[in-house]
Amino acid sequence: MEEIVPEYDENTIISTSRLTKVFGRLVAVNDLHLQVMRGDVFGFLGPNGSGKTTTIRMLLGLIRPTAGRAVIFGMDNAYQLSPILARIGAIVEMPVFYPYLSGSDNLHVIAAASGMMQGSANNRRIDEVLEIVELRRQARQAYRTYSLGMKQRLGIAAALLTDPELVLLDEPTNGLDPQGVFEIRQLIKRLSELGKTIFLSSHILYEVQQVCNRVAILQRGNLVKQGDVGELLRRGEQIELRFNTEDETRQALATLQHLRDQGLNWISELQEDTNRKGQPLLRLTAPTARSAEINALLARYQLFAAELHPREGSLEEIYLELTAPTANEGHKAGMAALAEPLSQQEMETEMPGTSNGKRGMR
Amino acid sequence: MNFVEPAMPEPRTSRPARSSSVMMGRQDFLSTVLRLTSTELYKIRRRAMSKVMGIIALATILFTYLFAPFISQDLVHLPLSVTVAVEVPRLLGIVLTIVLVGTIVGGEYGIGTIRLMLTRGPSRIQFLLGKIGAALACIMLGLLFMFLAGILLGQAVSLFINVPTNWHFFSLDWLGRVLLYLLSAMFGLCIYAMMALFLAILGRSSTAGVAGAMTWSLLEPVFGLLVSTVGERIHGPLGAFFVSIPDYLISNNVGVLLQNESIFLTHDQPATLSNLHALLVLALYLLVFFGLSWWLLERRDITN
Repeated sequence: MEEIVPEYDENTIISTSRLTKVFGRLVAVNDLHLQVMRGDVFGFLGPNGSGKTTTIRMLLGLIRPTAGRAVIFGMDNAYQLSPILARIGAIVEMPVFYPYLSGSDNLHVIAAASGMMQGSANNRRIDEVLEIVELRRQARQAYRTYSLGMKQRLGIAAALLTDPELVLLDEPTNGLDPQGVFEIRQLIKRLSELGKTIFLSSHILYEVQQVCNRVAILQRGNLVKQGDVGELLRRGEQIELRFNTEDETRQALATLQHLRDQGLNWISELQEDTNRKGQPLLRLTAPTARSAEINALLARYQLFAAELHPREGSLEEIYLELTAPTANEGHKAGMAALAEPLSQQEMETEMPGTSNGKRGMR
Repeated sequence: MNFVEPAMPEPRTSRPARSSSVMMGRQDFLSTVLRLTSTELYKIRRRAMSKVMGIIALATILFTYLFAPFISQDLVHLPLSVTVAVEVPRLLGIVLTIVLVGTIVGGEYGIGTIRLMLTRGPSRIQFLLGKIGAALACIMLGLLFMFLAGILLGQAVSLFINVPTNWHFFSLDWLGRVLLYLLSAMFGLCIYAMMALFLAILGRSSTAGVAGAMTWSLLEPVFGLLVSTVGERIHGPLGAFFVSIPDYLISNNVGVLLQNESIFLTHDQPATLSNLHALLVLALYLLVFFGLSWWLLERRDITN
């Protein structure tokens, strides 16, 4: 078998190569190639059971890979786990602490386990992280009396305790109210501004879209997409045109198809549709920045749109498309266009046998 | 799936400075283990269970010395009170040690905090040694405290019932022998602690550690008696084999050490087995329990 050496350089924080975990007959993670760069806010997405937590556990050395390797900060986690962990702050699933200790005492225990000095030496740091997650007032309260949201906040405080370079957060907003979710999002942005690398596993796609610059999407243990969020969203951009008559709509469709055949290749998809009121629509998968250009082009052919709506792409659509069950593949042809390679520079992975492995209607 | 280990190239990502408010301690192996031990002791101190155990231990000592004069007045004052001050805490200590160690190790799995601890930097062996360090400290301090409390209480009771102590026995040699006797009792408890630790890791729960070790310690003497009785009836090489089995059981070997160390007090016959035999057998148990615990902790995935 060929030698496996994950690609990395000074700016690569996490690099996995052919990372695989098999539990009995279940392949939880299959041949995973991930690359997280310094300063990334990296979204790690996938439905339940797709292998996200297993991957995080492998990165943290809680479980051993069946095959493949993970290099973090340029060190192989199979051999140099302790120095790697000393530079990571992590929440794995629901954070759990000692129920008989207070929030502050739990942080003292974790500080000592993290190699920090014991006693009062780190009181200031503990107060700082409690302040960040707004738990200072409840610091003396026993952990067992904490609400779900408070437990989650304490988990984040524990992850930030050593001021780590890499913060690994597995569903950090679980159990938080909308205000709490918003605050965590702000916190992630703030940490990113401080130069921290964030690895965020989440189901809340809006949250990921708001804070992450790169994402990886897993399905049934396979990596189905990895790339730049902006690039992905741009590929999901659409322009909706409504004309007053069906005849005009058909003419506009024919005109745009003709123009595309003539070399207007930034229109990747054309589709007739109707809006909620049953009015005919023309939907173009094209950059929204080109809306005015489209309008002007059609006007040259005496086709004047009654309405023009530029529609931003959403991570949710991309996610749902990429993780859709195989049976629905036929109905998702349009969105499959998103599975196109992003760019030469962008790391791109498409696994065989997954729904997005097929190209959409061109 | 096979996977070829390549030699890793050297470049590592540079490490930015931490915030000035983060005060890191020494990171060498021993300092980390000592820090984990101290953290473990702090957690034990904060548990309600530890307070309950302390109360049980004190109450047991109190009742023992209040009722001992009814059996024999010699038992409450020195030098014979040493045997009571070692034996009672030792017997109670077996139960308390098993409960304590089974809980502090199994509890990490039960609550799920093992995940938290093993992602903070210490290696699994350091984590294990931290637990063992805390267990040893508890055994030594607990037994010493109960021993001293017993001796003092016994002397107080003997004064109260007006039985004078003749101090002619007291010498440095005598003190040394008492220390050895006490150390033998501590060593015996360490075996049970390691047994509970191993079973808690094996079963990944406090229940496995506590119930498993308790059952073992209760059934072992019964098993020993049973096989030796059967062996005596069978005769021949198989019978001799059966008869020799109890010589390799924990309780018997701990008993051998204690009996051989206490003869200066009780003037009984020494045990049929030597201290060396008992020490070797018990050391082997220690090694097996520790080795298996380490192996299990290192090998198994933390999935809870």
